[in-house]
Amino acid sequence: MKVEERYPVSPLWRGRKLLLMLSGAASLLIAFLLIPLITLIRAVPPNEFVGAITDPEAVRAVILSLASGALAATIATVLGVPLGYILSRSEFRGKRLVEGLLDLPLVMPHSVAGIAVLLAYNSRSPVGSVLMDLGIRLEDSFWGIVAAMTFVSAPFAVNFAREGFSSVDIGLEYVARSLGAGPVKMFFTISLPLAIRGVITGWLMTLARAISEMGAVMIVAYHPTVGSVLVYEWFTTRGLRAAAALSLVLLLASLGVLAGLRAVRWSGGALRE
Amino acid sequence: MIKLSDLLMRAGDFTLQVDDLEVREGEYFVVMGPSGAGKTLLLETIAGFRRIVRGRIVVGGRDVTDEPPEKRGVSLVPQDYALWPHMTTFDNIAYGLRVRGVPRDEVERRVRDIARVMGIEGLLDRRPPTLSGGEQQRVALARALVVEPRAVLLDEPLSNLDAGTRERLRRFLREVHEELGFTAIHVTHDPMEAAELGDRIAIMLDGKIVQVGGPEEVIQSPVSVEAAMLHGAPILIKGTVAECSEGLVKLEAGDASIVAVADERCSPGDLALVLIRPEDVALFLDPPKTGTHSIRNVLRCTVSEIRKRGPLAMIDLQAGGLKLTAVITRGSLEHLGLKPGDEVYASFKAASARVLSCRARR
Repeated sequence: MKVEERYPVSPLWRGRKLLLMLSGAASLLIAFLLIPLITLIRAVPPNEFVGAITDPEAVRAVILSLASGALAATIATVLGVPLGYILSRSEFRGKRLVEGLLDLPLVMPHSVAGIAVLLAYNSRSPVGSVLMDLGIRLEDSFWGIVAAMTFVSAPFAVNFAREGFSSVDIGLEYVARSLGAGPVKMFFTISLPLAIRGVITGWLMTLARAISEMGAVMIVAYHPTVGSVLVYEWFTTRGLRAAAALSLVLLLASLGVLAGLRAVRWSGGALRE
Repeated sequence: MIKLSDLLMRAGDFTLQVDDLEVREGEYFVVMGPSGAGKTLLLETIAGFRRIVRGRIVVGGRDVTDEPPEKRGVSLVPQDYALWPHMTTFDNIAYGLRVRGVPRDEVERRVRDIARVMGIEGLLDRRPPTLSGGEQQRVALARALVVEPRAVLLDEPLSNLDAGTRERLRRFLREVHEELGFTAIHVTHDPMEAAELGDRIAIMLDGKIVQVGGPEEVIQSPVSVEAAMLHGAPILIKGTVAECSEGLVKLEAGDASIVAVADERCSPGDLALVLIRPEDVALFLDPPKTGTHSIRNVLRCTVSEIRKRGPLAMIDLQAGGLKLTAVITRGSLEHLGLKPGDEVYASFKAASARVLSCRARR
């Protein structure tokens, strides 16, 4: 039952003093978030925006951002969904440690994350040399971008998948087992389809986080240049106006992801009703 | 057939212990107990979702103690039915057959057959969230039965329904069981449900089965006060044994004297606890004429309170130092014209008064 069905009257009704206090603070925050976005949109004349979206370097960078972001989100999801399921369905020694570890990329400075990834997986490191044997070199390569993006954004994939699985009543899985489905069959026919909105939301959030990443990517693979790094580069070489035009392009890409997130949530609500 | 022996299972601080329990082939077996008695845990243990400390679980003559849930051949119907919302009703019912690799046309045929028995042919293309509680219950039952399990485990399957639907589905469950003859363990806290459905009833208290028997035996001869309380609050009378002979006990309780049936040995002077069901107490405005009836207990009482419960009325009575309750219909209440403070005669047969415990006074 929706909150508004249970409580048709908001607790704020006739609470004018509290409403005034809360909405004052809320308006300040909304304004603080909105003003830079509006300013950015207004600062870019249409011809400069068209110039940015037709600039071959910018187009390459944005496509690279989306492609590497999508690959990072997919890797994080494919490997994160099993971890999300384990965390949602079992208790084991060290579970808190794993959960803490998952939060770490979200709280550590992203330049530090870049340094850590570069140190661990550069072509002379033990893991990096194995990757080199497979023809994958991280420094200044597409794979380096993907690795940096995956490192900083994977927690989203895991956490949203875990939330998705946690929202699936365990009784739904019990029944499948009692009717003859083994654990693998149960996972792919019941658990995963029922948690799919959480998984897709996780993928989109991971993608959004990945394409917005600059610090870690810049350290591991400055070249080829992704959109966020190019904004920084244009800012330092061409000035604020040029960077603003490219920023607007990336902002629209982020809005696209946001629209995707809304669509997933909306479809979930529509299905429930 | 399901057989549990020497079963011990722990879940946190709770212990489930079943020394010996056998559910016969084709039997509708009801486990009744209050909330928290461990009824659901018992089903989950039989289904293989709980790790046991010791004991054996035999289903259909096969020891399944170490088998995973999917190999035990018992279908679970949880309290909220657990229908899968991402599948149609047809797919829900077909699931168990498909995972077993049953050919497509046979799946189609068997799903439609069971849907016909359950009266849900028209719902096969619908999704569970669009079904009513009663419809969901039938779908859940169809899904459990279509795989022809060795037993069906039903966890309070009627508790989420309104009174009318519950009543209808209770009858429906009975009819479907008679038609298909499956072995069922049905857990509930509702004595009416247990009495109507159960071929036999087990009473479960604090993780233990304390009594197993036919519905009448379990309801009329509870083994303890707790077991009796499951069938609604009984009248409990404490008194001193005055005489005993041939299974009958005469008891002095307050100013009254009561004749009751005793299964155990009592001696004069013992302290006895007698149980009477309020529905076995009849009320008279005048004392019934001696020699014209078989009633051994007639007590002059004062009405202390009248509580109306739907079509029934609970009449609380005081007789000397004793407190009794009688359940009569609203029609009888009007006919007798009772109100608090009135004098009335409460009567019950000796056979309705049962000595629960008898011990020597210290």
